[in-house]
Amino acid sequence: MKKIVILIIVFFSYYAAAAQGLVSIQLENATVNELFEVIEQQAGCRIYSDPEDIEDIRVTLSRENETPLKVLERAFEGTNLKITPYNNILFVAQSRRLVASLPLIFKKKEDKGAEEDSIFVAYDVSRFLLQDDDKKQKLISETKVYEIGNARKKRSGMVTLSGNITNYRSEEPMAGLSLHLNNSTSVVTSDANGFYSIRIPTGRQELNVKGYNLKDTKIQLMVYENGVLNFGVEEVMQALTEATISAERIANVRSTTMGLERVKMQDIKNIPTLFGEVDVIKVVLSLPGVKSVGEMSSGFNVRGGATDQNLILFNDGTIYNPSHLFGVFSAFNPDVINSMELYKSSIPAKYGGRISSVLDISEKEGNKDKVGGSASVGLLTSRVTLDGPIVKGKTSFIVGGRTTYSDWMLKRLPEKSGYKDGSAEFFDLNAGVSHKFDERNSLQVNGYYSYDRFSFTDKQKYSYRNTNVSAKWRRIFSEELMGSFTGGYDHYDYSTKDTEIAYRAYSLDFAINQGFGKLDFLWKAADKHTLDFGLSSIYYSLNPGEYLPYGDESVARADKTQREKALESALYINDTWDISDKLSVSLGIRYSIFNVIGSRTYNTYNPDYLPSLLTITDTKTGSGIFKTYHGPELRGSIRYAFTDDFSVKAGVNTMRQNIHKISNTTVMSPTDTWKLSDANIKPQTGMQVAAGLYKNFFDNLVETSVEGYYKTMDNFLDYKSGAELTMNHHLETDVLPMTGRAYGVELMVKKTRGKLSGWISYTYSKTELKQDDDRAADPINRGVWYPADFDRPRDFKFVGNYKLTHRFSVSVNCDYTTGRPITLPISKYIYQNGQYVYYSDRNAYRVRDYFRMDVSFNIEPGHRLTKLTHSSLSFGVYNVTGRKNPYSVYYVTENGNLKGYQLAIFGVPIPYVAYNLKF
Amino acid sequence: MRKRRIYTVQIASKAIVSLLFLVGGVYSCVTEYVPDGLEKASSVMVVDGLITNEISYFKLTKTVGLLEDINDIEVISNASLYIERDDGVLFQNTSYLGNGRYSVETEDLDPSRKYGLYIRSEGKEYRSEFLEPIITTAIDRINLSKAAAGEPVYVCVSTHDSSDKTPYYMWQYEEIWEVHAQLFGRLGWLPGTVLEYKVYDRNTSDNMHHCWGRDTSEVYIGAADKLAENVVIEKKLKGIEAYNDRFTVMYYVKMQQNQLRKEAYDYFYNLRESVEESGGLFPPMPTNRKGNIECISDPNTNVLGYVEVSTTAYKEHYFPEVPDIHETPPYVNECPTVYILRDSLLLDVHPPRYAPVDTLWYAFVDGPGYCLYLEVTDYSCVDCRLKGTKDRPIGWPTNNY
Repeated sequence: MKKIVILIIVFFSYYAAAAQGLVSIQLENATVNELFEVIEQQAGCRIYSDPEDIEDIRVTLSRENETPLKVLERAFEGTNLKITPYNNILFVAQSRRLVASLPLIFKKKEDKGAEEDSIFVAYDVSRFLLQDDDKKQKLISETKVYEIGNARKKRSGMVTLSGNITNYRSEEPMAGLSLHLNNSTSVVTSDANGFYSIRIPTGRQELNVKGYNLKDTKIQLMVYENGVLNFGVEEVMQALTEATISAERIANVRSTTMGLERVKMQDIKNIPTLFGEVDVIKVVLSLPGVKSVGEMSSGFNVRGGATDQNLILFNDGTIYNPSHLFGVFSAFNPDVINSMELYKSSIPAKYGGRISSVLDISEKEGNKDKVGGSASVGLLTSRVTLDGPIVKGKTSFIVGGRTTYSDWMLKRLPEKSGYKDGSAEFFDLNAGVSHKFDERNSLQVNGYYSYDRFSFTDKQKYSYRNTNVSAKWRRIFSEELMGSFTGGYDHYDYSTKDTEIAYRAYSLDFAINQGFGKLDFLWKAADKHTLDFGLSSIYYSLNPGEYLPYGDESVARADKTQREKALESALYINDTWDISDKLSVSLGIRYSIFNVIGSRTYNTYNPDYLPSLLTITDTKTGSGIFKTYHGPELRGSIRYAFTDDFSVKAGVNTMRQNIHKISNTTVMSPTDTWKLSDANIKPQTGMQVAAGLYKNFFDNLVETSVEGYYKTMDNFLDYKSGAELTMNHHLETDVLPMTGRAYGVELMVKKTRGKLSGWISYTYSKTELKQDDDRAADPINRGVWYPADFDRPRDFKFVGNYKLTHRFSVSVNCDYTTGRPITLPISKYIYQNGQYVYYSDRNAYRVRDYFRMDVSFNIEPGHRLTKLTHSSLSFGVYNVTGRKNPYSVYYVTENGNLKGYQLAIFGVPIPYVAYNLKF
Repeated sequence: MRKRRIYTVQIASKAIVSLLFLVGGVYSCVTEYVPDGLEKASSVMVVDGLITNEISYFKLTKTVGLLEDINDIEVISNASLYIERDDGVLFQNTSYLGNGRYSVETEDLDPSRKYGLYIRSEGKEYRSEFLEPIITTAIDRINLSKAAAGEPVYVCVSTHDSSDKTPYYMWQYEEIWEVHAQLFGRLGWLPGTVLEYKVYDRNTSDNMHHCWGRDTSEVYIGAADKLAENVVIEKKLKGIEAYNDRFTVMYYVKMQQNQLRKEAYDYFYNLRESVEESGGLFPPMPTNRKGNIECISDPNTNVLGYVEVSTTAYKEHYFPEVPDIHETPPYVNECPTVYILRDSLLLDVHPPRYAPVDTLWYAFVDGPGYCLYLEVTDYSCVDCRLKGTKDRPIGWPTNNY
């Protein structure tokens, strides 16, 4: 939204040699923008101007081999436009805008700087410089030496520098920027709140700041003692945001973290999507190592994990159903999302509770400066977002809403999908307030509500809701210690009403309630040690099912399962130890304790047999904490950097999970319910070891990586055929513990800047399951390893964006994967006067390979900064080749014979148009 | 989740209509699927039937490959089978009825004993689990239900039992319906002659106008386990189009009901679910659920089926009111008749292409003599045997023969 550039640039009175390249140009009555484009292309420089100034000017010009400055001077002869070069940049502005005064940033130290003899001239290209600038973070200057601490208190050795980085204009925190010193391979990354803390030696230092949409910035420091440096940075003018995904150009090589994918929303909006809906989950699916069963499935599988093994956090709250409309869209409004992080491998010790991955999504903070917003009209949904200050510079708000009109699309689904005759609606609402008490204390309160309703007929209705509220107080205790305190409440419920047959009419309700609190600290304990530590607690209260008669005629038997309560607590500590510039180790331990809380009754079973109603030995009543599972989770990683841009890493982590999805389908379905570990159901455990090579090329322009992993999963649940999944008072009799293993290699090449940006990845991976409990009478596939439903070994992904001009770009998205495994009937027979089938071993066959290519064209308007609104248009085609990728295979009896069909959900090219408006 | 095919009408706004134009086409596609490299499954015996009072029927067949013709299914005609009671009594009065069907006389089942089926076939021995018989409750009512014009007609069944008895049920019914040819053909060709005809009598069975169709339904299952009372009210079994021949004159249903234990119900339910709900968006994991029969001579030999032990309750009902719910078929055979000189039919192939309806003697105006014209039409218009048989059920309540 805030891609508007503001430049307050300070430069020396002597002009640096401007652009090096020479320009040959021939123009007839051209616009100034055309002129600029030619010069920029030939000379490799950048030209900035105020569009208002150049709007009406037409240029006719013919020059040979001249410097850009000369060309421009010639071009603007007779106008009042002045050209001012600065390094490799040329500013074109009316001469009255040349301000011969010191900019605000230097007021305090104007005569104490290192370059005392420099004469500063402020060049105000912008008419947007705010007068009440004192409240704002200062824009960092590259030419200024910042003094940290008092020279008289000068210490030697290492000190801590910390502070907040904000977007200079919007004052939004800048997350995910990497900071590192020259000549050092250790790097720190600003967190979601823009906070950073780095250990640096005293003396003259050069700190590099890099990030998305940010020109690599060098900050000159004179360090005497511990200190705070808060600063603002400018996002670089980019007419079109690139489809880049990671800011971690250097961090990918230098941090000890492996398998982290960081995505900033504004960077992905050009990725072509189904129906033009920007969708975080679909972006997650375009990352290596992430797979799904099919296009209409809302869950995703990370490195062989099941769909319920991903912890999905939205502003620290847990989201149990991340989808709208059976998985067509994700439940997150893209306009309110700031960024998201997907941890596939090294899961930081502060996260726990799921064994496969963590997807941490954070909401934007409202603009503390002025009111803005955005609106979007799509084929299926519309959404609007508004943000702005409540108290200027201190308190801001953001609200967003989204709704749908998607019934028409359901009509186009195949009969077999079961939704063809249905109707559906959904909406979601977001609200957030952030307040900054002072430089050291800030508070953020967020709320989220999503609602989905659908029906197959007017007599069968389904609905589900996510509700989350959370508050987070962040405090900087000192330069070395920072903490955050988070509390919140999450709710998920699901409800069915079936009035098809009056006397059997019923309602079925399910709900998860959880309250949570967390304390997280970051402590720069010593020169080479950074400690993360904290504790967290979640109190669960589940209503596993309430089945009630509905209507007067109904004789349905009211049935209520026992409420499940539990307390899941964890303590963690992690030390990141920079042994040397080259070698860094991160070691953490998380101890998790799960208390099952009564009172409720439960059965005990003969341990020699699988639990069943025939092997019950006793029925007990547990009260208070009647069962506890606890254990350590290990998180460790190590990194050795051979050079600045080449490193190897290895890591290991173990995880525990105490909440299990109850579903006998392979995908996440809207009617899934969840179950806590209890006296009979043990926690799932997972272990992953991974290693990788990371190498950047061309000054970090191209990043490459190879990561391999091996993963095991234990005690996760599969269901006996015919298992009763709802209203089951003794679920342990219908489940079977499974063992899983997954391994693979992920190759990735990523280009984050330039005209062409994007990534290519190739993954080879296997995911296999085994039912090896000796007590199982008839184990799946006789107890041998078999491929999981999402075992799709070969996987090629390409996401690219090519900027044709500043305003037009083309994005292409390709996805090739091996077809999903399926269980096919291999023979048929007549039984009870009907035809039935006999199945092969589970997942013994595969559907055809999956291939899809999407294309989009994105048009941004000119940068008329004065315009009140800013709109963009994108149109594209989903599944350009129209390949009929099979989602499933099924058999129906036709004329007495079984006939097989395959169902492709989106089997033709689907064009779309999306219009976005920002104000 | 169960999905039902009920059509609802939605009003689309103009905006949405125009979007549809923009989007065009149908997104999803269903294409035929022929798996390649499908393994050749070994043929497995299928035991279909249950142990019940008086006579128990079993059908022994074998599975066929998925792509083979179901009509080529192999029946087992030379098996020996009997029913065992857990006190050692054997019921060995077994007859082979042909087409893989066997009957075993069992007398009344003793509720305090357990029963099992023994089979010996192709050198292997099989035995079903010994189970106590379930004494099935009576059927309360059979009725037909049609929601609205154009909707199918359902055969419905109602029953109830004390709620502490098993709430799982199985139904199967025989149906008989009277059906008439569209036109009454007063004449019929005499077999074995060349265009000799006879005159039919509507009031005896010597006609081709009144016929009876018969069918046996599939097996339906139902459960009242979620209800406070063990009751089934108007459970819809088969849905049949309202223009079906069944509903033209008289319709008869003989329903049989068996109560099932949970294991049997789950087995039957799983079979249906894995066919009906496969391929949807949220399909259940297909599985081969084990039945209650085992090969006792070779544990590695697979066998399919669940042999329930349950007495059978019957109820029959005539539906003389069916002409009221009958609807005009979407396509009607007009049955035009034409008059043709009898002699010109001689040139016709044998047997004749047309069926005679009536005669017309035509007297020449300008001379003596007559010539015989025959009113003829298509066989399907006058011969009811294309829709049923002349086998009139005993005690059929109409006066048609």
